[in-house]
Amino acid sequence: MSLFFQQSWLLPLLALAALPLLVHLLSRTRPPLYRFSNLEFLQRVVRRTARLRRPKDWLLLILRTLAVFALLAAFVGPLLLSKNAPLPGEKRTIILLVDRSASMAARDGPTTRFESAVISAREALDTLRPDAANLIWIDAEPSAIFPEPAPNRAFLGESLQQAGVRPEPGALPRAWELALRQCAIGTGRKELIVISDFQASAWKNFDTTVPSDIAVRAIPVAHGDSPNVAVSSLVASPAEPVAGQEATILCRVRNYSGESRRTTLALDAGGSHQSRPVEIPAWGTTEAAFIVRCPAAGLLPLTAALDNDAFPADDRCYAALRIRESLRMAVAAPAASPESKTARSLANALPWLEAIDCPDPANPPPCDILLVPSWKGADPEKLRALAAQGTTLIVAPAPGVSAAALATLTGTTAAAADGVLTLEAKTEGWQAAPVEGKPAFALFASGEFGNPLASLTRQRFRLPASLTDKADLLGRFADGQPALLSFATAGAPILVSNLPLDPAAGDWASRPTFLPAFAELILHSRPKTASDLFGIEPGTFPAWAPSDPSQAATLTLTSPDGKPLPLEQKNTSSGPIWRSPQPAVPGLYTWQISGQPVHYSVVNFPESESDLRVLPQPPTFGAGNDNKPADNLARLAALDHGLPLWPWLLAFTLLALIAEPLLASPLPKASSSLSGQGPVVSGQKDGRTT
Amino acid sequence: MTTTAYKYLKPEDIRRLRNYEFGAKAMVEGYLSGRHRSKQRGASIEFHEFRQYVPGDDLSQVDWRVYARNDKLFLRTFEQETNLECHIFLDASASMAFPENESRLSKLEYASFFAACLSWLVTSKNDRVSLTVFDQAIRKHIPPGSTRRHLHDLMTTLEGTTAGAPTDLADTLHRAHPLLKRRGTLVILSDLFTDPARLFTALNPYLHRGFRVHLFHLLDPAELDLENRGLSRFVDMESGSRLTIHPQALREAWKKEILNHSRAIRALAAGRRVDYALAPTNESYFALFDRFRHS
Repeated sequence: MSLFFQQSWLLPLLALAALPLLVHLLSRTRPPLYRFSNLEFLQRVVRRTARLRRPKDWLLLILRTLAVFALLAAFVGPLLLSKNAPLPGEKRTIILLVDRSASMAARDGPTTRFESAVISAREALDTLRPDAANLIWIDAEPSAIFPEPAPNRAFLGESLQQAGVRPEPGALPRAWELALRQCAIGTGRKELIVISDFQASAWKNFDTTVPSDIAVRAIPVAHGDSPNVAVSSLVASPAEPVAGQEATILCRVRNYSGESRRTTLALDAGGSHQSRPVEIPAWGTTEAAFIVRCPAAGLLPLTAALDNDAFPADDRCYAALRIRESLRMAVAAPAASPESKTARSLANALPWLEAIDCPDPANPPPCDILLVPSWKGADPEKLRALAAQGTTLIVAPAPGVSAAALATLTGTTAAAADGVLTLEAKTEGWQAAPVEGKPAFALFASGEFGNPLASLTRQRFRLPASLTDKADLLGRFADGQPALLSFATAGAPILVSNLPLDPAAGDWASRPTFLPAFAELILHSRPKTASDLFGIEPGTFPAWAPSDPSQAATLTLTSPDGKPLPLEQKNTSSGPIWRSPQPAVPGLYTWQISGQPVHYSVVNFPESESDLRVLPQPPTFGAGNDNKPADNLARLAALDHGLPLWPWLLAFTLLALIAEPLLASPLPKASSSLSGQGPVVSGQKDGRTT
Repeated sequence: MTTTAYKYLKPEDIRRLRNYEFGAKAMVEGYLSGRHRSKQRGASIEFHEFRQYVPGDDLSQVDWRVYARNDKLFLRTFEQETNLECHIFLDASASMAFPENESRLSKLEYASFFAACLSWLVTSKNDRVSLTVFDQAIRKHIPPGSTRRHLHDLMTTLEGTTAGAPTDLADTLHRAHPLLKRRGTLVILSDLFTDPARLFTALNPYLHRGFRVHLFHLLDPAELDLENRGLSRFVDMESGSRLTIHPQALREAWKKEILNHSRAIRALAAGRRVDYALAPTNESYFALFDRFRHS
């Protein structure tokens, strides 16, 4: 609050408020003499009344001083202004920063947070009546209604009325920056009004420092935390299954409340429904796995849904599963080599496996598996990079490979003394067996299908201990030496085999269990995650480009609710793309060519917006700002325009004038009159009778 | 037209006093037989009663025969017709000069006017009147008399009286008691700023001797309710002590104090059959004459 004086040149008049005090002091110093008949009685009265009279005297002095002060102050024309209010005559620019991110859809009582925000924003425009104003939305793509603050408040009101919550996270830093820029453009007193639910996850660590010439007011519209349960993710494993393979769909459900919740989770996989109850602990997550059979190659839309709760926007999660027709295995070995022949035999035996030649293992053709049966230690970094990109590597070292190269490939460290890998030979060979409990050989765990690694290995490498220590040992020889090792990467694993495919070195490839063992090994070595080909952020525009641009003639896009959407072509550096002009909302957008689904655009509710907890107090907007929540805009607006205090001061003066005599002299009591006790006489003049 | 040369005796007052009759029993004790019939004991032919001698009694009334028989002094009293003897005690202390420099009469002037009128009234009926002017001591005592010259002396004394020292009414009454040879009516004109109990202790001998006492409590209106004036330094007219106060703030308490004081005197007076009247000096003193008529 601040005080403004309309007639500030009259301020010196206020010094006259000391008049009663001066009069009091001066009269105290030289009161007139009054000869009185008897002071003994008077002193008795003084003694008796002193205890009451002294405080009363002080009270009287204060009252008189205040009355004079109030009267004088009324002439100075004081206006009570809010702290950051513009002075009378000063221009005022207001920038409204209104949150319409997904969390604003939460319902607090009869209205949603966003509806409350719209009401507050309109009230701010109507009551504060700025000379220029602008409106900036906090959403994924913050934008201002006007290029610069403008006086057309009605248009801003209409914009507010027509707006809705966007199912997207708010790009708060960009919105804030834009708001500050708009404030900087504005003239006069600049004010930024932030209307938001002040979601804790978004605002907690946000730097809200503002220049000192900008006043910020926070209007929180959330009435507290809202409990919420959301499907936070939907993940398929393997990410790209092969036709006929079963995929495990993992649904993660999160509870954003202080109480454990029980609900039902349903999965729709291309029209096939499954459901199961789930119980989520307080502030915790739980996962539910659904097994989905992938009958044929193609795209499989997935939708996980919860029973609707108070905040239904995040009760669904979407994904699309790409089911592969076959896996491509590049074989980096001469076509006439026994390893190559073995690989081709495998591909022939497995309908979902295709073998292709790979002359240069460092630059293989597009493939899912790269088999390097006789690796001489070349390009270990490149090979590792391929694995990281999602190509499963199966590497069998050749004689002369250094331990260092193998260490580089596998991401381990080799000791200098390791040198070149030592080749061991044994005529009677070594027997190998899988390590128990490995998923890759789970099929063989019962023993019904034999030993998947059954072989007689006559040549093998002695692998350094530093290598084996950091590997996932899948199989070992009878003497404990590693037979098959798996090294994890960011994408697909790198398998290092000590089991030669060359029949001269070992007979594993000729054993009956080789085919199922190798097939299981390949399927279980697929990358757990695949690059998200379908997901787009809410608020962005669904876009896609068919591989054959000529197909664009029959390209259509349907929205999650099944309505066709218009498409517009955009030319990019990589060629033309087609996109919807409407921002995406959570759901599955289906791209079709000639009526057949060819692609999905998957839009999921932003996980960060599911946590509906809000800051207990609005953030601090710098030392110079009024950090109190502006919960009563009308009152603040009145203060901003200046509340004239002179009527109050005059009223106070009148009251003081009324109170002064009451305080100065007690009310007359209906006491007996002294004169009534004496003689009753008709009249007298100068002591003489009349 | 009656004219006077006295300050406190105005022709119009005399004219009005002529209408007053002194048939009241309070005023009938005197030596003029036939005028006032008294129930007081005295030297007459009609025996009234015996009563024990007390110091101060006239020895001529002692019945020596009874003394010879019983060795005790008894007085033989007779019902007699007697003349009036009126004793006026005029307080001329400093406080009686209040208010000073005012258009109103001071209390002393008011008392003097009344005393003058009363003196004229008593002497005009051939009764006797005495005057005792006092403050802390007896400043002037004029014994009872009823002649024109006596009246002249009284008037002259009244005119020459000015307010003087502090008051001591009780002491004055003690000292004046031997001066009053005959009982009669005691009229005390004072502002009575004294202790009521002490005052009545001093009056007891007079009452015992059969005096009728009229206590006229003279107060200026400003003393009754304190004047509505601003902050002032009050100076005691008798002691000279000073007190700075705001009278407005004390007005109610002062009125209550004065009322209580007056009530205390009134209560003591009623118990001793003393006539008490509070006389504000802004009211006519002729009303006080009615007190004699009705007592």
